[in-house]
Amino acid sequence: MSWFASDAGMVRKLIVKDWQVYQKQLAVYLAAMLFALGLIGMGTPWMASAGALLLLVLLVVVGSFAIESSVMTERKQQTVPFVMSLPVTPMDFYWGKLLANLVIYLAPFLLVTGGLLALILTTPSPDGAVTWVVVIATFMLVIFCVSLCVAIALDSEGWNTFTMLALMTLIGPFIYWVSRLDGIAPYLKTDDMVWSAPVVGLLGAELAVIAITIFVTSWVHSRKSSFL
Amino acid sequence: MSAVETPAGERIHYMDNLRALAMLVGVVFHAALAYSPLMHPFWPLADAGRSIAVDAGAWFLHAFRMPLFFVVAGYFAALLAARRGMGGLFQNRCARVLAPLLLFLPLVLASLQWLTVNAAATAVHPSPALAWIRAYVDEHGAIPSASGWAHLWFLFYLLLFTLLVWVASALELRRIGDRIAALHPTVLPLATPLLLAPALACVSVPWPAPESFVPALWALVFFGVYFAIGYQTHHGSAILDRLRSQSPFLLSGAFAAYAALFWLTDGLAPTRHAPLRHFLHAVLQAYAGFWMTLCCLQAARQWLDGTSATLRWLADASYWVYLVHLPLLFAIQYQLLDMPIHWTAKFAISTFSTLALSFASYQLLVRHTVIGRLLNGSLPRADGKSRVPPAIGSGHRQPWAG
Repeated sequence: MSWFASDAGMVRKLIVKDWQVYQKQLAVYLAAMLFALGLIGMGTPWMASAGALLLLVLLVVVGSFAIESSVMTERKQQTVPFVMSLPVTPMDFYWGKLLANLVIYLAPFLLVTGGLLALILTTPSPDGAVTWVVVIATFMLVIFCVSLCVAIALDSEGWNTFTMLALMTLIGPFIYWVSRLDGIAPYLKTDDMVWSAPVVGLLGAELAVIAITIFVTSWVHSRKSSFL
Repeated sequence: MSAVETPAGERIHYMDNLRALAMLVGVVFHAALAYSPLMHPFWPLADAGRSIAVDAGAWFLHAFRMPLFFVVAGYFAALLAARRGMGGLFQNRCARVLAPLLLFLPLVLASLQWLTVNAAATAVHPSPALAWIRAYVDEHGAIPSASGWAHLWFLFYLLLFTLLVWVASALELRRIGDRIAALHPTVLPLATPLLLAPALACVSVPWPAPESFVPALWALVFFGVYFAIGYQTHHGSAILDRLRSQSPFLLSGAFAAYAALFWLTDGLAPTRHAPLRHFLHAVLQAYAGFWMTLCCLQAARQWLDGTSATLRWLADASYWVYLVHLPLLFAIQYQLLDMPIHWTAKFAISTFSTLALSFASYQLLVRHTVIGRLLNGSLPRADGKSRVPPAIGSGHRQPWAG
């Protein structure tokens, strides 16, 4: 039982394959994200609101799209049995899928998060919102990682769809809850960027969820037999 | 010989030379702002002496100077993508644009801030903006925070357009460019400004520099169109060939559009107009800028498409001059604020001193040093060809083109 890929070169090829297969759709998302950032950069309140909302929607959609097309659809099209008939171990395939999806998601995620943080730090907007953005952005990353790991680990389309939808419904309540949290709410409209204990704890918990999810999925995959 | 046919490894002379001249115009433009009545309330370097003639001239240059840079940048981006592929383009942009931007931005911002704080404390005849800064520092103990890309915003947008080159390539949008290029030659100069006008209508007249860290949609559209035109020009310069006969009309049309704009806005006075009137101003600005850009491209192809040691040296120096000229100009013009001489003399002194210091520092500190290699890559051979093999060489030393 090995936790690591047997062939790093093969994993790289699988990542490049996914990137190339889905680059048209990703190009559209990237253009849409630049458009949304551009709306924010226009500086008027309604355009900034529209841009921020569009960014949030795009971030959710690009995550769902990546998982849906590169994991679930490929499973339906029997791509996996074909790939597994090639000289590829289950762990090569697993790391290829995990890393390809992370790359695909992290590119727009970092663009959006970086853009929002730049907006806050470079405009008269209160800098106290930085912690709020970081906590919410990390939550979006958690949702993506959990959805991705569940999709990789479970064959059931029903469970995968349920997991994605259930996690997405948590975004609204989470934003509402975080906006009223003791360690965040008092500083939201001030220029004090306070990394209070609740904020640090929340970020730690979010990162721990990501790590545990990837750990469990890796463990599940490491138990699969390799015939190479 | 069209650009497509140019053997790999050779410099594209007219684009190189055009960039060098546009860079010189940039220094003149920034020096002129101190004597512009329009900028007097906002520009910290604003001098007591000013003239509406400066506004008439400087803002006319402004209408096409940066658009021209973006056309040149788009052209070189296409050249790089054709010679090195998308990966090579990204690699080059990271090395020649992103790295210098990250390295020089803190230095530029810190030097501008230090010079301004110093001038606010010492100037006997401060500009209105400097006087306001002095009052602010007296009250709060520090200069007001005003972060942004400063004049390096061009590099930031260049990086964004590199991303959009990948988007356009992935979506195979080149055929749209080919179709537009195949339209009747009158369509492009007549229709393009109408597409640019809505973007310009979103901002004041004349358009401001988009210096904010977050990209502005109007600037993405406005400069993006010019970048795309430059990109398309590399793929087929026939579009410029077909527009050659129209150059006299475009030139006179550009002057007429700018004159009408200047007259309708009472010398570009910052007055709030009705939306329809403002849109009309944006249309005139778009026509003046676009037609002048086309005229400059035609003129460069006709008169600047040859080797000249001076122009080549200027083209080599242009990136460094672009990076350092504003801090130098600030240092010089702050010193000139209190000098009892006519503004025309101050304008001449600041322009020539800035250029002299920029060029001297380039020759002594940059051209043959690691900074020169960071900005421009290796020096070209005397015959104009790059030392690097054509397979990876761009044939020009500054694909940043700004």
